[in-house]
Amino acid sequence: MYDDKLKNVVEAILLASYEPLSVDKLFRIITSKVKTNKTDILSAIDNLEKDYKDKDIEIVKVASGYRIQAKSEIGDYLNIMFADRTPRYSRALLETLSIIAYRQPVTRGDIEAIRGVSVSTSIMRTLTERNWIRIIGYRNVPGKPAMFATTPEFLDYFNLQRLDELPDLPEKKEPMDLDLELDDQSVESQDLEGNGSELVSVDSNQDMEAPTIQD
Amino acid sequence: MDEPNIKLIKNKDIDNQINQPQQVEMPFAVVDGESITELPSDLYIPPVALKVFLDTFEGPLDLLLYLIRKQNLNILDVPIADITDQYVNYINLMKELELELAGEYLLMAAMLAEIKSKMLLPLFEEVEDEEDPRAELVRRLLEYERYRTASEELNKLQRLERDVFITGVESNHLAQPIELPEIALQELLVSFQEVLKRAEMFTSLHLLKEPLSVRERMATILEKLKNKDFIDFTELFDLEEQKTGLVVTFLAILELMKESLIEIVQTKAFGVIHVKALLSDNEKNTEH
Repeated sequence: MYDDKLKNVVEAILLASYEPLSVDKLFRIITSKVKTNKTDILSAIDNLEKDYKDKDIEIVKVASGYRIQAKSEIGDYLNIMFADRTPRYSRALLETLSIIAYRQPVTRGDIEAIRGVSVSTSIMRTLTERNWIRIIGYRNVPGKPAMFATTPEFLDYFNLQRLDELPDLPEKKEPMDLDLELDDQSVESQDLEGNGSELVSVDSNQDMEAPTIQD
Repeated sequence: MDEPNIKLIKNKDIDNQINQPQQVEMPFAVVDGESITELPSDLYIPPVALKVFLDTFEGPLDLLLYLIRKQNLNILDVPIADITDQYVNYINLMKELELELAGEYLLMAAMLAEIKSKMLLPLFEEVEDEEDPRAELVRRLLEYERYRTASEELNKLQRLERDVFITGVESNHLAQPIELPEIALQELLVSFQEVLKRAEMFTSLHLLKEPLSVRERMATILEKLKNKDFIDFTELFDLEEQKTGLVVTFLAILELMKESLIEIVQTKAFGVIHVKALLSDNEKNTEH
């Protein structure tokens, strides 16, 4: 198959599928009709990427494979079009989802311990119905609580390929050296996850609103 | 309703940079140049209005973090007494508004009170490794804050249905070619055999009912009784008939009796049983 022909076929298949397709799957579909190989498919995808450069659509790789999507630049237009259909997620839902994403596998108890409130059944149902989380086993403790983890669909939805592409969890601060004297102005906290030598000095007047995200 | 009790922490650090005005509660309103920070007790606030504010908190840790951050306090050096007072004020506010107060909030109030009381006790120098009573709470606050921040970051990620949208083309109009499979003669034979086998299962033994009808036999019996006064009971049975035929005759006799068309008479014990047709109404008189 000529390069251009293959490129057009890959494009049409991705557009018609409405869901991400892996190279393996593309290969299986195309090769059932004409002989091809995965390298050619990958270069076809590369060429599509170049074609879309000046357009408002793009081809991206997410956890389940490649998909063609409208660029975020025109998201504003589309949001007007879909005004009422844009789903909104509560803070509680996003917090619960974050804990599952970063700490998986977790039980409801783990989530409750971090958030300090009981886990909402409706939130867990929404997350399961959206197919973002699933039960991957049961912890071997009394009660055999279910352990939750995220799914490839979760990554797809957030435009990610792998879990490690999630923004880094803010650095862990341990109140190890919490000063017992109330009038001491600064507290040193040991960085347990880092080199250990790094001492973080946190001042009372430091603006804590802005979270520090490690890159 | 108590005004939330905001005090600045006695802290050198803050004292040094105290050129900024003391943080006070945002005035609800300014009346005649005077700012009102306390709600008039007779002012009716629809409970839903404050509920909206209080509902924004995702639990006690969230509320505590809010209280700490609002005053730019160091989370690692929380002035427990002040924070406890403020926290309890909020709890009371919730109670006053008759909001459904989750148990977690009360648990946190108890925890704060416990920490506060521990902090008031003098520290024993001898006891080593005595942890600051606040440590556990601070650890939980920090841990919660990490994930709260993470969730905010997660929310910023480009996501489907909000930032990016799946594009696609319609393909339903395309005729789906129906591929006709090729069939080997062998397979054809095998399936025909199966058909035959299945057909065999449908062959059945036809059990024909003997055309024996009680109604019909009743007519026959009446026919026999016609023009005769009596007939011997046994004469009604045709012994050449099968058992079923005999039973049908017997049933017919019983049925005729029930319908008062015949009468059965026995003149003496163990004597011959006679069957006699009962006459129709116009002939009855002569009979009885």
